[in-house]
Amino acid sequence: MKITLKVNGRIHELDVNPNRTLLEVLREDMDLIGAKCGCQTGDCGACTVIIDGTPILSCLTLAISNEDKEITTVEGLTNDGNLHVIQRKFIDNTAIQCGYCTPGLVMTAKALLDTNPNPTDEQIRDYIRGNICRCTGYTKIVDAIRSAAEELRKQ
Amino acid sequence: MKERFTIPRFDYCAPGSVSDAVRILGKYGKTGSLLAGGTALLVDLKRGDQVPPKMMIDIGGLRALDFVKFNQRNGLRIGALTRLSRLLQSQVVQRHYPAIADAIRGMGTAQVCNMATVGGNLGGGSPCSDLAVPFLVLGARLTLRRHRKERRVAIEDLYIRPYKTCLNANEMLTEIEIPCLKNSGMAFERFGRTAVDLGLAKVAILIRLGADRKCSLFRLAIGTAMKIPKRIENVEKLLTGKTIDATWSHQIAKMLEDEEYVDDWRASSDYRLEICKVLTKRALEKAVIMAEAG
Repeated sequence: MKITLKVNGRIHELDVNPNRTLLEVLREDMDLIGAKCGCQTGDCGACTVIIDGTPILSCLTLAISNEDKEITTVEGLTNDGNLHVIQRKFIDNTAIQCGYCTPGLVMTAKALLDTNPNPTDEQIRDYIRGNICRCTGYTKIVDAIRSAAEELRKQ
Repeated sequence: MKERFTIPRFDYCAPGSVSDAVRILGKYGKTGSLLAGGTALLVDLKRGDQVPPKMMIDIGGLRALDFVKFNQRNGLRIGALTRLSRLLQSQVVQRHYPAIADAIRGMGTAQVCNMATVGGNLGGGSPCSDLAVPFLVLGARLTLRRHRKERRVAIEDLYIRPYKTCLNANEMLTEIEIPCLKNSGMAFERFGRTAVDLGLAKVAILIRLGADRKCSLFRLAIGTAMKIPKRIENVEKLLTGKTIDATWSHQIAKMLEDEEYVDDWRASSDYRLEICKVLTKRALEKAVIMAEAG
């Protein structure tokens, strides 16, 4: 079926079967491989993208269900090759180990800070409860999100 | 990607109205499937736990069923396609129905709560539904629509056995109504291993107390620990009309021993019984405080 998706501000005309998930279409048809394929069952959060302002699991939504929506992937955060503050803070705080969970965590953090610019550590931990880091570097991840929040508030 | 996680093929439509949706559902019956949030259905299809539908009827975008409304006379009305996160954000729910808010706080991840719908949580018939437990004590009524007809059922009548509800193949859950419950206290308690698991047991209590601490209304519901979410009527009958005292949680605990609990790899039935006793005690304390505060 012919569908139209708006991803990172660009309109894409695609021909996809209705049974394909948004994650499959992003990665296989659009070469947007930032969102990762982890558990496939909604437990790990590695496939998180932002749709109309809210973090969504792209492995549990059909591509065809997302026409007429604003989809943002981690690739959409950079501006002229410059990393977003959240991405930079993940690097500065060594909040990346193997890196597999990182795009999902960055997108979840973005959604959190867009709605709550000054979260407590408890609120950060609660909000990212659906993003699993199997390197278990959670302390650094919370540090990164907290310092990204501080910098974003200054801007 | 691993082949076993590929969703099987189906025909697809996204009706623009509820009446279109139920008309198409009526045409396909058992070979049609309603897709709302997708957090349960798509996982089942990926795992091969469910026969793929011939027609997938995507109702996730039907804005007409995405609402939370409240007035003192009719109480709370929730559209079946309201996302869990939206229901939790409702000031009315947080203020007047804290047991519902507490149930959602324990459900899944931020992402899942942004996707999963109230209707999907109930209509899927999962014995682990968190929302069913407060809805049972609050006396929720469900509107079930089919082509050109609708009926209303009490939530007690929804669950028949695990994953089997009273919904016919041509029916769709469209709305949940919860009466306005003045001067009463309510509480929800859950126990699980992690912040995001399905849990082992959930308990909700609704209580109304007179000036003399006489209980004019008492309801107790348990979910996940039993085959289906249900009210514990023996306990309700025993305590309604009595004056509350310190022996209540002990009396309830004794009566809970007569019920049958799920015994599986998540937890033994003996363990679930013990958990239910503890959760009931906690919920009772919370509900009584709220009832006394008015």
